Amino acid sequence: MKILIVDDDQDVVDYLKDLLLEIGFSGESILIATNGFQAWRLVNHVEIKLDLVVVDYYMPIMDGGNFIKKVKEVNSGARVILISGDSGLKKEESSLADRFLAKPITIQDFKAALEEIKILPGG
Amino acid sequence: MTIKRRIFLSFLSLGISAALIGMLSIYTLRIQRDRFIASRNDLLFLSRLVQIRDFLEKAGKSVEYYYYLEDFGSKTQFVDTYKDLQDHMGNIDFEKKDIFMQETENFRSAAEAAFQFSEKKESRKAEQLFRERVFPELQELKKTISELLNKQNQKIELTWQKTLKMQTRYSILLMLFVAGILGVVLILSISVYSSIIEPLHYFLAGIKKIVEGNINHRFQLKRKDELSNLAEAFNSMLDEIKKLQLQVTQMSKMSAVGQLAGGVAHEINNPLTGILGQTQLLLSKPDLDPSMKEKLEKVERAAFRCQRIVRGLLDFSRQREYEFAEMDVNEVVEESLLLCASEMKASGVKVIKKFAPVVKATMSRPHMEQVFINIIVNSFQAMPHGGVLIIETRASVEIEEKEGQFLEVSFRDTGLGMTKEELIRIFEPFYTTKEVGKGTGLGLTVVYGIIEAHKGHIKADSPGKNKGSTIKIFLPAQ
Repeated sequence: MKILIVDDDQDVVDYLKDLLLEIGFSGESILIATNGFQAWRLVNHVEIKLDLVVVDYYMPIMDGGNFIKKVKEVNSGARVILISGDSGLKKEESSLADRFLAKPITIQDFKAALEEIKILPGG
Repeated sequence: MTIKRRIFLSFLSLGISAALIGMLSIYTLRIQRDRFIASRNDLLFLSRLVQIRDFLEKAGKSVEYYYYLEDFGSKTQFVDTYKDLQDHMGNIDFEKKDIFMQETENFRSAAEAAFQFSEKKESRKAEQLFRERVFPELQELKKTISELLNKQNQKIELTWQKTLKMQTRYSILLMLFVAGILGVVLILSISVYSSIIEPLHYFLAGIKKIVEGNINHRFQLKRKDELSNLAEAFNSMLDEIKKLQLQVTQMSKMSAVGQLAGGVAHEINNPLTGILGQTQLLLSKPDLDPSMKEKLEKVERAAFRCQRIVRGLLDFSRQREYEFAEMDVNEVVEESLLLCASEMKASGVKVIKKFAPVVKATMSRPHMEQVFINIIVNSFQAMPHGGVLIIETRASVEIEEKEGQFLEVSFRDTGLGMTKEELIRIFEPFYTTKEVGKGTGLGLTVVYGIIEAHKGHIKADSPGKNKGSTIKIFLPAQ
């Protein structure tokens, strides 16, 4: 199981990591990038097969939308949760991902999303 | 006095003056004409009397020549003159003409008898006749004609004097009239000037002040006529402009604040994710100290409140996906009421629906539901001890603020109502009359934004505190 968290905000990254650990995912399965471009390099060069990507929409250099399109090209099996501070994100943007969650993200919302896309610790 | 009446009176008095002068002139001219005709006849008569006198003189001379100079040829001249005299007598008529004619006849017959005696050489008889009858009768005739002449001269003199007198009287009268009319014109000019021109200057000066930016200037005329009505109309127009100016300022302030807040709100969501998420993570620990748990729950509640505020701001500042379609407004209102069913039950408010049969409009359903729910819930909250909410729909109305036909959805409640100050600020972001923590102050701001996106209009009204309020929504009609 490999999970990639992409967000330019440290508070969000920390929380998502803590939450995933709390849910039961191991620390080694969690990768972190602070923008779309960095994440893309990670995906492209390290050539890891990702199971889940949690990605912010508005980021410098490469935004979440473009990153999702690129990930889907090389890693079509990865499930994607798009997160954003803008609850009113346009449909064509939010529909790129399997699930969309508006910030602030509650534990309940995140857990429900994981269940929906069938990503479970140890799965 | 009203200006209308002033102008009417002016024209009336000028008209009457002109008519009087006209009548007076015609009357005088007619009398003068009659006088002229009469004086012409008098002069003619006079000249005929003079001719008769001349003939008598001539006839007398012929007789004297005959008698004193024994110029017997004078007899023929006498006969001719007498004939001329008789002809002239036919053209003239006067009192006691018959007697005068008889006397001339007597004079003629006496003269001719005297001529005959003289021709028969009976000079004593002839002389007696000349001395006793012919000369005295000639004298008598001359006297009569001279009296007639005198009389006629006097008559002519009198007529002239009368005419002159009348001319003078007419001139004085005319002068008085003209002076009167001049006076009237002067008074009218002053009156018109003071009633129209002066206030116009006053208005111009006032308008100049307003144009320079003094919107608080008001017009006051100490009178009661059309111009004071105009002043009142100006004042109420200025009141309206001032109200509108205030509204425009409020609205632009609102949209500026809304946009800034939207940008800030988006940024706040990141740290808020940390605060809310980490708190929830702590709260999920099983062995949590109860007092710690209570405090963490308070942090969580506060974070959720932040979330609501931020959502509201984003809703207002961003044009979220609108999907417009034609639909029945009544149905959307019904649906919104259903969604507020639990609040309605709790509040004990009675809802009365007065729907027009079919009210169709192009709108984005989720947004309009949000609008209606917001207004309905606000209304319930304004009636904590129950009350009545009347929801009315009308298919086609016109409004002052925008052109075209609109459908109207109005929400009238018997709740807390609003003051004038509250009415002005009601759509402003973060403005709320609710208790701290109960409202974000963004509900009606979002409603305002949605109605704007529908190219509609929203109006709030209230007769005052505790007198209920009305929210009216206008959407472009089909």
